[in-house]
Amino acid sequence: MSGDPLQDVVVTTKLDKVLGWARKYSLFQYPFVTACCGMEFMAVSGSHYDTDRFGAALPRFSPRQADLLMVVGTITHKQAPILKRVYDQMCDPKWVVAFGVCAPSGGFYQNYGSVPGIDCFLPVDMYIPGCPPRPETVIDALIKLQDRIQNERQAIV
Amino acid sequence: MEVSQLHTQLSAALGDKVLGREELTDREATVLAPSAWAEGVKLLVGLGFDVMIELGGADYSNYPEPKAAPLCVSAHFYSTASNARAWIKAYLPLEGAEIESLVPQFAAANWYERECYDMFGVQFKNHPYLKRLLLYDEFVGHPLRKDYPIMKSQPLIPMRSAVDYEAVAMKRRAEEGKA
Repeated sequence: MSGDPLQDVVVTTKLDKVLGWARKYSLFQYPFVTACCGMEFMAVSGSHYDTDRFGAALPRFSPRQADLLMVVGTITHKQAPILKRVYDQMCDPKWVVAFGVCAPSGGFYQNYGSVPGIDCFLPVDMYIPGCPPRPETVIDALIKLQDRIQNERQAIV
Repeated sequence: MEVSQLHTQLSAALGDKVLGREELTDREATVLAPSAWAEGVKLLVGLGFDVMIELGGADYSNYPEPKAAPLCVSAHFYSTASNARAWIKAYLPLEGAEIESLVPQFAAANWYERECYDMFGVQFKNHPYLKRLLLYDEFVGHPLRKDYPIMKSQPLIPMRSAVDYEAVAMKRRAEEGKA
């Protein structure tokens, strides 16, 4: 027993750390699914791979209730304004994940129709490679994203 | 019905409006003059071709050599009674490409023709609703034509340009060469 009577009852930390800890385990994702990657996304968000372990299981079907935008699939120039609007409707703090090959880079659709990566108009926090990505890759990205949320400067909103 | 028979019947009915026949890998197509397009399809309907399988376009501007009427519209029909298939084609010029719509004969032609208009700029006369099917209204031009720049995109919202990885790699190689 040390001399400090508060040692066993009080934990000191920083506000950023506490908020990060709280935020990283309650990700509400909005799946913006446009293409074949959606099948893999369904697999990973089901019970078998259990993303609830990371507090990221519940998909919200309104962007106003979500803070994690999962862009799953090819984004065309026709679709881009819609995706931008969905992103703008989400409340801060919010994060964006580009899922697959087409969302991060346009994939092999290098032509008149598709956007060569959603980072052309959105800030992307995490890229998940693969065509489509393995569920393990998605879970790995989720953990990395949580790590990032834990350690980032937290916006007080 | 044999395809060669079909060709003969179309030639007999349309005379010199049948421009020829084209060998495809495992079938033959009858080439019609654009003015005989709707008439030829009416004949096919009379011969029992009751299903429209497909209608599509192609731009043969530089293949195999430059030509005056490079824009090909092709259609594919099927007869449920005789289990036969028919392919017809017509070639149009790039400027003022215009052909009769097949919607009066086949409702299935509606979206095919809209797609063909969208991608190749073929005007289908008497189409009930000739509007772009896949691209947005703000899009200028017809992207599957060979004279459309292959990398040209028309964003609707402001975007930073995509990274030209080829240029980045070349610059890096040049710098490494200097060092």
